[in-house]
Amino acid sequence: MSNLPIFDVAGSAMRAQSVRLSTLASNLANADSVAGSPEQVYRPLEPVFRASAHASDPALTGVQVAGIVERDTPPIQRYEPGHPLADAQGYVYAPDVDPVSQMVNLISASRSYQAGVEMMNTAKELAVATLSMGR
Amino acid sequence: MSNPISSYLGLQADALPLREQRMKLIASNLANADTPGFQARDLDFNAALAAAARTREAGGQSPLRERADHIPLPGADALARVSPPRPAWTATVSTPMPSAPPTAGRRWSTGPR
Repeated sequence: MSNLPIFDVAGSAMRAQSVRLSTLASNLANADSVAGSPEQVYRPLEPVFRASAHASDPALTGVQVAGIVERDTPPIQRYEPGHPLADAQGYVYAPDVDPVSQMVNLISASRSYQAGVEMMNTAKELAVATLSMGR
Repeated sequence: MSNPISSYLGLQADALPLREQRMKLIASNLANADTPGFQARDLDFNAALAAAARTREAGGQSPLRERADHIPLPGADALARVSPPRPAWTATVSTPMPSAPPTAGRRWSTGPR
């Protein structure tokens, strides 16, 4: 069965998108995690994708997560003197996470993951159709 | 073509690997839809046909358009003047870059956090 490497490509896309979904989940979950100093605050994560050619077939190009980048946007300083984590001046620091853009990113990642699933289903159907040829 | 099945199927047996190759390219394009800087690829049938007709004529064989009342092929008219050989596949679609590549100012972590 010569079209099995397509499963590798679809699988690499799904793996990359699930890493993206994980980082988005971390960012959204920690959007309100405040800290007492700018150094301790949560840094939003972002995966970096890279195309990687398939070892056996030059026509195939999978996706590879080259790394997960911590964005170095400055945290948001908020004056909350009653907060238990507030520093001596009464400030807490929140990560600069925009929930709206994160949600848009989440929908995009979810669609791309679904495209990977669809790719796998199509390749599977074609493989089964090829096997049942002439039956 | 000694296989009776392939001789029975004729051209379709040759068309299947072509479709498979195109499916691989499209699968790669789809997988890399979110990869910054990735250049999507597809098969360029006209260019491949023109290249095949060129090699056929260069080898002393009859051209693809053998009779005057044959409908001219899309690439066949350009056969004489197409000088640079084009590869069978060329990048036809360009993907936008959804995010900038990592810069030196960013901190990296390659492993799971």
